[in-house]
Amino acid sequence: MISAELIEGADLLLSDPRSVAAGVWPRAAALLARQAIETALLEFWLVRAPGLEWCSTHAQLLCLPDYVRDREIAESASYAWTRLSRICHHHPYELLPTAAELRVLVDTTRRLVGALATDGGPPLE
Amino acid sequence: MDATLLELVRARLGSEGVESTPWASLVVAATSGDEALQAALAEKSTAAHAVAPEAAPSPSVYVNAVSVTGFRGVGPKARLELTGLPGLTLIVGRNGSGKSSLSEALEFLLTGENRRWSTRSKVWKEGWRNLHHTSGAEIEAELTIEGDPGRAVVSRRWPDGADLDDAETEIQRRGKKKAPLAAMAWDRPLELYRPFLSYNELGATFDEGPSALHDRLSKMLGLEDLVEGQKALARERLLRTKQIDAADAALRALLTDLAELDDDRVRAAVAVLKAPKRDLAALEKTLAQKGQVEGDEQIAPLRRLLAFELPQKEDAQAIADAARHAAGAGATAAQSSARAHDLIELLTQALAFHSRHKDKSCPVCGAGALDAKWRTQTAATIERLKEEAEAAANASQLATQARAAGRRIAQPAPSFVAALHGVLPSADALAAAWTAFASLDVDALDVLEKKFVPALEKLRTALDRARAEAEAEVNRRDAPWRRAVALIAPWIAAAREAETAKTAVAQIKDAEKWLKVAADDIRTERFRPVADEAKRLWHFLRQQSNVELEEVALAGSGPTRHPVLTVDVDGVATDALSVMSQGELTSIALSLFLPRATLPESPFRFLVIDDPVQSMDPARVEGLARVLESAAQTRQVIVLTHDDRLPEAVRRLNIAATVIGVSRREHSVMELRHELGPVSRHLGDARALALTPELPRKVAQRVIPGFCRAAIEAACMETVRRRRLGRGDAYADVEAALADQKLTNLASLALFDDGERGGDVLARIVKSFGGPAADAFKICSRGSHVGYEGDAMTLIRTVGVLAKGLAELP
Repeated sequence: MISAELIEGADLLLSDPRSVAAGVWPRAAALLARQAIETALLEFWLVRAPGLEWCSTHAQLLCLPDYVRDREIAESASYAWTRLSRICHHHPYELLPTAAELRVLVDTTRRLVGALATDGGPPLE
Repeated sequence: MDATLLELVRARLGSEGVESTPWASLVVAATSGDEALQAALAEKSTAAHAVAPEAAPSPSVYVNAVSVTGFRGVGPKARLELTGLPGLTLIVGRNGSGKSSLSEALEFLLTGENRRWSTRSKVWKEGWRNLHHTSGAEIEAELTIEGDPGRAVVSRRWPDGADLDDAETEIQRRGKKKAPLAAMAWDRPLELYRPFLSYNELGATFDEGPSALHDRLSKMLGLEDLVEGQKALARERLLRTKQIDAADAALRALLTDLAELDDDRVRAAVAVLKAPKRDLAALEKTLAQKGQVEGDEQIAPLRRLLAFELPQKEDAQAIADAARHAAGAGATAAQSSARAHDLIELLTQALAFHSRHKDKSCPVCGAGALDAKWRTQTAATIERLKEEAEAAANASQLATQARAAGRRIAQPAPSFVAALHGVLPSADALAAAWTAFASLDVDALDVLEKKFVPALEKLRTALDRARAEAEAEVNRRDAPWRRAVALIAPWIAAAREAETAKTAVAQIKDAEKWLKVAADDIRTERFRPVADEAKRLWHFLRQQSNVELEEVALAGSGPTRHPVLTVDVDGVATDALSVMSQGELTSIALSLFLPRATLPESPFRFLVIDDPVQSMDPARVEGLARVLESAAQTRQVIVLTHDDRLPEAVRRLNIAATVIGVSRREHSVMELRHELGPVSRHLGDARALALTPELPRKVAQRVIPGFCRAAIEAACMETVRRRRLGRGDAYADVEAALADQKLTNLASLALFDDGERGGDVLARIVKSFGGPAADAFKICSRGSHVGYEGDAMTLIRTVGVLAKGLAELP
């Protein structure tokens, strides 16, 4: 359930302006959301494909569509994770993401966390 | 003229049961075009029912390559290789890399203009040549035209120093003569379904005002004929209203003029003109009657005087001559006539006596002798006497004839002469001359001979004088009327036209009313799929935003026309323009214009979007990628972008796309390199996993063959699409052949151009690409649920070779 807590934290940063000092919250929220994705994957692999959690997140996200019913959420999560990673790292002159973009990314993360927690595995072929 | 539209209009008229009303033919004619409308209004209604043959749909067009030299940001020749197939192509380059010059070049080549420049200053337009490459500017595009056996080349070359517009664009289709591009008749579809969309345009969509946006949206619906028809009807109505007004004004002027004319006939005409229901036919008849109008008793005798003809002098002279002749002959013959008769009888009896009794002395006188000599003399005497008697009879007959002729001519004055008394100054002199002539004793031959002709000539002189006076009098009396006729006659023509115009105006108004309602309905109907598609696209683009696009429609007409964009924000319906951010508006604009460019009617199967991300909320990039993916299902979607979020999204969302990187070195040298087509991307993903040492073996065995398989599938599809579309197959048929095929069937299609030869696939792969390739193929086709236990990198390498080979099959 750690992933769920992380996503709540990210959400709070976005929705409550008093939570963290101005200017810091976008990157902080991105950090929490990215960790939520990685944690959710960890929790998922432990049950479904032990060992995969040791691989790079990139590799994990490449494998994910093969293990979930909803391929689309897997793909969306892959994009969200890439964007979040980029936001987390400091790039000179790159503007901070807008609240709207972060909202989308956090919501995608939330959907992924929910989907992985309830996923019963890929459809039988 | 749009035959489908015309049919739609006819069907509507029919279903409402109004097709035989007089205005229905005007509706049909107005929709058919100006000429037909003119004909219908002139009541040559047959022309209105002629329908132009429906134009064959334009064949589909894809872009295979664009080559640009010395144009805007491009210096030496740069060639952009495209797929010429449906699918997504991203052209990625930093701002200033010159990528937009490529799309502008293609847009300019096909449309002869560029939206981005069209509003810019002249300086901007003049600076189209590349600064580093000032000679030999050229744009060339290779196109796939559905049904053509090979590629078509559209090109435009500028001689040195030529202006932007100083060159002709030509098209060279395989197996056809080089022709001006105009021969393709793409102007209208290019305008209706413009396959070029730049961020400036997206951003400016809502800046032009509601009516401009309405026009751009409704244009794509192909309803111009209805709009033009409405305009034409309004124009014709106005024309006729003016005609009616002019006739009314002319009537007022006419009545003012007529009021000044003192004439009974004019007053009668004015009464007709003022009557509420003017009888133009009766009025015209009155005008034609000229002077013979009742109510003027004096003018009739004048006219009869003018029409009267006196006998010719020559005829009268002949009568006088006859009288003289008869008189001359009669003077000698008449008195001796009886004696001559007696003498002829006596002498004839004497001759008979001599014949019976022979020579004797004369029994009457006793002195003379009746002998042969006497007999001869007497016979001659009898002959002479007979001739004299005949002459006398002739003269008498001549006299009788002359008298009768004289009597016939010397008639008393006709009744109109008396009526002229007091009207003409010489009326009495005329009457006197006439009386003098008529009272001649024509029985007297000497009167006939000597007085008849002079009296007649005297009468003639009097008559001529009276006639001259009468003519002047008639003219004087007729002047107001003639003036009135001159005024009324042209007005009648105008009034008749106005009457026709009135009838026409009533019908035109009915036609306009009906057409307006019909046009609104048809517009709504035709716009519905666009609106639905816009809503669907917005659904992707809005992401988790709380703004839901509720209603998209076209409303109003004339200057108040506008698009309706209603959004639902947290359950409250409101106008989109008032609540949306620029980014959201850009997304809405894209939602509206993508359906336009992808309407099935459009021949352009490609779509160039220049930097949609630039003015778009970054939050929507994922949605945008999905939208582009869905458009790329049926269209060749070429997207230029300056940042890497879109390529990133495409890659992460596993959207099949060809990515081409653009960079520009110094001196405008453009470099284009293909990055990661679908085949190499799938292989790249597989490689990334294979190189992850921590990856559990079971996972690797399961996942890696899946990526390999996707790579082979992509390669097969590429070949089948390229081959079949290239030889002219219909796009829909090609896609149907590829849909839901297993790997083996796809390979069969790629290898044999036949999906049913799956059994021969492995043998052919062995033959063409070697045994290991066939083994790799087998592994990939087993499906991901069966693990692969061999070396992953080897598999990926082999699949790479196989995929490349399959992708390059002819």
